[in-house]
Amino acid sequence: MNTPLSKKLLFVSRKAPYGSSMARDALDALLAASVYDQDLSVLFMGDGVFQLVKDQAAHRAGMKSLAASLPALPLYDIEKIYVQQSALEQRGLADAELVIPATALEDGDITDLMEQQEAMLSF
Amino acid sequence: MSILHTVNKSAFTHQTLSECLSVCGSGHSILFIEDGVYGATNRSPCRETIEALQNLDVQFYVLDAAIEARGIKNLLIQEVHIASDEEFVDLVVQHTAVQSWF
Repeated sequence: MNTPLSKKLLFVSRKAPYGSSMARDALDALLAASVYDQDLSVLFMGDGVFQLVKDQAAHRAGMKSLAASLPALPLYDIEKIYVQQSALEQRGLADAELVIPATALEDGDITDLMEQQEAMLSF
Repeated sequence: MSILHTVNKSAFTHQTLSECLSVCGSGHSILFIEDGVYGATNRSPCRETIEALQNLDVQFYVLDAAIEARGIKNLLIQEVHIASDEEFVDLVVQHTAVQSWF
């Protein structure tokens, strides 16, 4: 599946959804990258895990819902979706249902994931 | 496979550095830039973790211009290296990928 022009890219999304445009920017860049047939993964860590919370009413912040867009990722063949387990626990979300299924990773697994990448894009 | 991490937020007001340290692996390097350099000083909230990682073959660097600008050269944790802009470029080239924490 790796053509010579295909790179292993990890998108690291670490910001909460509506305080800045970073979370939206990460998603837009990720969807754009999917057009170019790259080997993509996305990791939600730190406050970025708040993007995965259900029942967001983005219009109350005058924004478009991010949580409504995230379930589209598999349609763009982005299947490698990860979330930092310790960040979920610290924020009381360990047992919460998330807007998309994401593989929970311990911090040591995140180290391994990063070491496998050719490049990382940080948001 | 080794990663270069850059950190540009003060450890006294942000979690950025501790997030970075929590996933930093053996053989990685961490470069403090901009306000990030405050995280490499003696009273840094992350000092203990930094010293533990130094024993796990993690190298720490601060950008020369950033510490000169802030007058904190004599406050650095021991064995934190001072890197010039040229050495910053060398570090980028020497690692397989860069993760920027901001």
